[in-house]
Amino acid sequence: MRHRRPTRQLKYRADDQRAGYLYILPWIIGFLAFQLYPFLASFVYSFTDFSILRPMKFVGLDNYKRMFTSDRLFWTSLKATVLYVLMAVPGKLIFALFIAMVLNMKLKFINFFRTIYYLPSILGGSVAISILWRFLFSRNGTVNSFLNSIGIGSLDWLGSPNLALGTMGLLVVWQFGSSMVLFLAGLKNIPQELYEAARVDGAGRIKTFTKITLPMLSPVIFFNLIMQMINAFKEFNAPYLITQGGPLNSTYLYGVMLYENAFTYLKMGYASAQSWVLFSIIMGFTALTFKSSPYWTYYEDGGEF
Amino acid sequence: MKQHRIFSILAVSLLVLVISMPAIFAAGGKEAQPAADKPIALRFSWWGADTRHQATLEAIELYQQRNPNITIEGEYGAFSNFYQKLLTQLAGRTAPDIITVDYKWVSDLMNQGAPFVNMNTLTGAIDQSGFDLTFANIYGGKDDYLIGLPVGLNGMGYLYNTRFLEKYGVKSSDEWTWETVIEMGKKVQAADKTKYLMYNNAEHWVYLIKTMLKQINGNTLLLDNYELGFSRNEMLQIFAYIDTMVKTGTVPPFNEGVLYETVYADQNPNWLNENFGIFPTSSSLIPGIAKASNFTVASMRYPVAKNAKDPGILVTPSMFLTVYKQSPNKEAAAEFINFFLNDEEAIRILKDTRGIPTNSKAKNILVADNVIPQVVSDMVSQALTGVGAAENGPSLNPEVIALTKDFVQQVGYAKMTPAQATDAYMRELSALAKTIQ
Repeated sequence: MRHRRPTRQLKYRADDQRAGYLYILPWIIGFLAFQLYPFLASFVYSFTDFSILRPMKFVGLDNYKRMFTSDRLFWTSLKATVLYVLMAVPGKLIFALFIAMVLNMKLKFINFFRTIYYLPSILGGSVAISILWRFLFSRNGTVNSFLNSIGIGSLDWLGSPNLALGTMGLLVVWQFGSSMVLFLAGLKNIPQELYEAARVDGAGRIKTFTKITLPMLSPVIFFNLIMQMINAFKEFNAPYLITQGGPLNSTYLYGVMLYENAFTYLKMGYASAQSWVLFSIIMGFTALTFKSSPYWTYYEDGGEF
Repeated sequence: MKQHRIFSILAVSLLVLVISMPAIFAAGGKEAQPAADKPIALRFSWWGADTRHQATLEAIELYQQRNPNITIEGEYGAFSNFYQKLLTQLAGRTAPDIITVDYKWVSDLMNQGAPFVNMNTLTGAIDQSGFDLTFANIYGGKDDYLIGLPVGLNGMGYLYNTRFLEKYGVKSSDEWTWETVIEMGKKVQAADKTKYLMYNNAEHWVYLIKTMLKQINGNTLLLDNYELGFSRNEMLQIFAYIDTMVKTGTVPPFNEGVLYETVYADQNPNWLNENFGIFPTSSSLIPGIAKASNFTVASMRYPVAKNAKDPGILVTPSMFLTVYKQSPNKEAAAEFINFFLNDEEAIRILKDTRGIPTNSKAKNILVADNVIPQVVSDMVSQALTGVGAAENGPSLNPEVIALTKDFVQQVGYAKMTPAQATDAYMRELSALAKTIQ
C-alpha cells in the first residue's frame, strides 16, 4: 500500500517538516535564549567595562590587554589550570580504564559492582562531597590518621601550596564513572577472536594489552580525552568549595578566577574577555588533539565513517 | 492530509496555550481578589548561623499569623556566598523584596547605582525614632540617601575560651597590647608545642592590618583619594608583626590553619577541640560560636598599642535591612521591616541574634528582659571604649581585601620576607587603586 502512492507521500513531507520543527521548538527556544544569546552577548561584553548594574562603555581591547600584561593573577591561574589538566586528565583516564578492565571480567555480582563504582560520578560535583574531601584530607583527617597508623607522618594535603592542587586532582580522578562506562562499552566491542588468536600465538597479558586492547580502544580513549580535557579546563566546584583557590593561589583555577572577577569584583566585561580566552585555549587544545588523532587512533572502518 | 493539518493546528494551539497560561492565571488571580487583602508574597534574604535562622523564621511566622494575606519566604544561608548571590539577583532583577546588606558592600552597591529604596523616604512606614541615624549614615549613607536601617551594633574583640587561658596561665585583661599577644603566645607554646594562643581567619588578618594601621597613623589602607594610607616603614612594621606571630607560634602554622580561613570558630575543629584559645571576632557572631562550644567563652578588649594615634577598634552596624527598588510590594516590605525592628514581640523573639540592636527601644526591652548574654554586651562595651575611625569605600573594596589577604599568606607561608612583601604589596595596591577609582 505504501509504495503504491509515492507522490502523496512526498507531498506530506512539507507538512511533516513543519510539525517537526514545532516539536523541537522548545529546544530551539532554549538554545537561542540560553545558549546562543549568552554566547554572543559575552563576546560583545568582552569589549566593554560592563559591571552588573551600571550602564556599560565600550573599551576596545583593554580587557584583553590588561589580562595579558597587568593582571597579577592571570598567569598564576593559567599555570595552575594547565598543571591541573595535565595531572587530572591522564590520572582519570588511566584509573577509569583500569576499573573498566576489572569490571569487564566475569565476576559474580558484576552488575552490582558496576553500579557501585559508578556512584562517585553521580555524587561528584556536589557540595557534600567537597566537604567530605576537606574532612578526609584535613590535618586531623582520615587520610592522615591512616598514614600515622602505618608510621608515616601527617601531611597538609590541602594546607600546603605544593600539595593542594594534587589533592584536588585526586577528587576528580575518583569521579571516573562516565569515562569508565565508555571504556567498558569499548572493551566489550573488542572481538574475542583477537585475544584467542594472540593467546594461540603465545602473547602474554602485557603484549595483548598494548597490541590489542589499547589500539582497539583508541577511539574511545580519544573521545574520553577530549571530554575530560574540556571538563578539567572548566573545573570550578572542587577548588571553589574545598580551598577557595588557596593556599597562596595554588589552586586558583581559571574557573574560580573567572567567577571572582564576575561576581565578587563585578567586572563582568573583564570576566567575559577571560572566558573567551579560556574558550580559545580549549579550542586550541581540542584542535591539537584532533590533528594528532590519525597517528594514534584506529578505526575498523578506516575512519571513513 | 486533513489529519496532519488537524495535528498541526492542535499542536500550535496547545503551544499558544502553554505559553500564555501564566498570563491567564495571573490575570484571573488579580480580578478574583479584592484589593485590600490581596495576597502578597514577600521574599526576605539574610545570612547567619542557626540561632539567627530559627529566630527569624519564628518572627516571620508571627507576622504571617497577624497578616494572613502576606506570606514571607526566607532566603537564608551562610555569609560566604551571600554577596555573590545577591549581585546575581540584582543583575537579573530578581532580588528579594527585603534584603540584608553588610556595611562592607555599601560603597560598592552605591557605585552600582544604589538599587535600594532610600530609607529617608520611608519614615512614614518605618518608625526610625529609636535609631542613631548619625551612626547609620556613617556606614550606610551618602548625601540624602540612606541604604537601609542598621539592625545591630557590632564590636570587634577577642573571644576566648576561659578554660584554655586558665590552663596555660594566660591572664585576660582589657589592657592587652600587641606585645602582650606575642608574650602570651610564647607562653602557650612553651607549655605545649601543639597548642596555640589564637587563630585569625583570613578576614581577620585584614582587620588586624587595618586596626594596627589606624593605631600607627590613624589612616585607612587607601585614603578617600585612593592614595596609599601608609608609608613603607609603617606597613613593614605590620608585616613584621605578622611574621613574628607565625614564627613564635602565637598562631598555628599556615599549612595547618588555612583550611578554616573562611569559616568562623563554630566550624573550626581546632577551636572546638581546644587547640587554640582566642578567636578574634565581631560580637554578632558570638551567640553561634558560644552555642557550638562546650566550654565557657568570655571577651576581652582588642589589643591597642601604647600611644596609639587612634585606638582603631572596629565598631560597625552588623547589617542593614533594605528594600529592593524593583520590588512590586515596597510598602508591604517596609511594613514588615517596621515590625521586624520595632514590634515588641518580634524584638523578644529575635533577641540579639543580629547583634545588640541599634534601635534603642529594642535594646532597652532586651536589657530589661536580661536576655543579652554577658559576653556579647561585654565585647560591645569594650569595643566602645576605643572606637576607631570609620572605614572608607576604597579600603572596603573586595579586590583590595583579596590582595591584602594574598600578602598575608605570602608572609605567613614565609614565601616573602616582611620587607619583600611590603614592597610588592605597595606596588600592587597602587596599581590596583588606579583601576578601581
